[in-house]
Amino acid sequence: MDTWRRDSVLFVPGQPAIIFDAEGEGSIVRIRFTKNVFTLLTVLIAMLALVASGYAQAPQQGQQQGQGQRGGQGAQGQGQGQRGGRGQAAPSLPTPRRADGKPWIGSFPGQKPGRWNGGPTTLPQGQLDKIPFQPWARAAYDQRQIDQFEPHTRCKASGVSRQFSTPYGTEFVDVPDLQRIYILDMGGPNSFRIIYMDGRPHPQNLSPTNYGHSIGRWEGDTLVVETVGLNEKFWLDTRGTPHTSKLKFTERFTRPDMNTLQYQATIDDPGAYTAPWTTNVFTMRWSPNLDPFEYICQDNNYGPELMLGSQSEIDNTKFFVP
Amino acid sequence: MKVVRLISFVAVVLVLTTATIAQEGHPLTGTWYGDFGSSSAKRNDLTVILKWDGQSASGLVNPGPGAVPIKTVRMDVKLGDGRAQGQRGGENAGPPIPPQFLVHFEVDAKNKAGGMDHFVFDGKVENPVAGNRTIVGSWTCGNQKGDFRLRRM
Repeated sequence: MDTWRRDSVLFVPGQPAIIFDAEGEGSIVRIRFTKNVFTLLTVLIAMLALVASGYAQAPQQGQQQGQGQRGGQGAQGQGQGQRGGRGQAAPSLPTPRRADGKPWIGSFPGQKPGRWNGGPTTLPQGQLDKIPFQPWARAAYDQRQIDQFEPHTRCKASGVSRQFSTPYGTEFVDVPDLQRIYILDMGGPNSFRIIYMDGRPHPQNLSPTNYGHSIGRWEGDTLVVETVGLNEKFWLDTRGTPHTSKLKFTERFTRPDMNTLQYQATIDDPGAYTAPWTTNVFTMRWSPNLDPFEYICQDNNYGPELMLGSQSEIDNTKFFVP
Repeated sequence: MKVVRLISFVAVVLVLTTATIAQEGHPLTGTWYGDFGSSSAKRNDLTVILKWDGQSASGLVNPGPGAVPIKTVRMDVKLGDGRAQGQRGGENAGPPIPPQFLVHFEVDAKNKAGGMDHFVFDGKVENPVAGNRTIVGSWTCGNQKGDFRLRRM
């Protein structure tokens, strides 16, 4: 652009050249100016076309970076390009399927990897007063609305439903040959969960862990995952839904089209609830063309003294960013 | 002497192991360490292991060769108003009213004369969401009384 300004000869016929750097397009357009007005008009039209082209591409870039972050509950049926209210929603592609006819639940061969965003942040959403909390569990839930002192924000691996509201989304890697599905967290602890699809049962006498032991099966087009062996070192969601190590957590994943993943969970935890209960259906959105990247949770942590297990008191004035 | 050392070592390992797997679920669950006494000058160490089986709590005082099972332990909750920090309730509603976690436990322990003393502890869990939350309260034993403070390890 500096060159264009310095050699601003656009309106002086007969000058040797105008150099116009079409910024943002990665190319330089060199135009030799001639002596007639027709050429001037041509140049103006070309410039307008370049500007219009750059404007039209903006929604596509935003879609890759932010798609799904706003989806959440009730977003079902939204298609690509609906964000920002610019234009109408393009119809979503059909559900991608494996050779055996089952849906690819995440990334699949022939396309760049993608991630799911917009997981459930509040499992009791819409039915809080109906959740069969034990008294202590309800009190713990209420207390967590005030203190919001969540292990995940201190880089603690957080299993089952909490995996899906981790920053930057969650990737599913389905490996049919190994009969396993890996769920990769991008943000937070940057760890992974394995869902065994080979029909094995849960081991006896499991030592409780953050991700527990997950086994999956297909019920039609729905992936059903049952997880046990979970410890109590994490919250089930960002709002602090409590659980104990007696939890049996059942998840149902359905991909009705390319861009949508429906998620529903059943919480069966006699240590914290008087009866099993099932969440509403949450909707996650597909963000295409997003390779995993290295994420180290300790980065930019300016409050190590507030890390779980070392703090002396809660500081409610600070927000924690994983 | 070697046996005593071995038992002590095992007890320490058990305590440390339990502390390592301290949980975030039920507010009572975990290993608690602190002291109790009738004044700030007269203090006694106190270690308490508490666990929740889903229906009731149980526990142990001073784990090791002289461990004493807790006779009764329970946690009563008083619900708050359920509001989140800085949310709902309007400008004049003030800060949210938090729930309270009240702890009661009783211990029968041998005294130096060979008899049994009956201790009753009543306290409140402070910073209940923090990993190293505390229980602070008072105790009585016959006509003796004082305060106690435990921090979860």
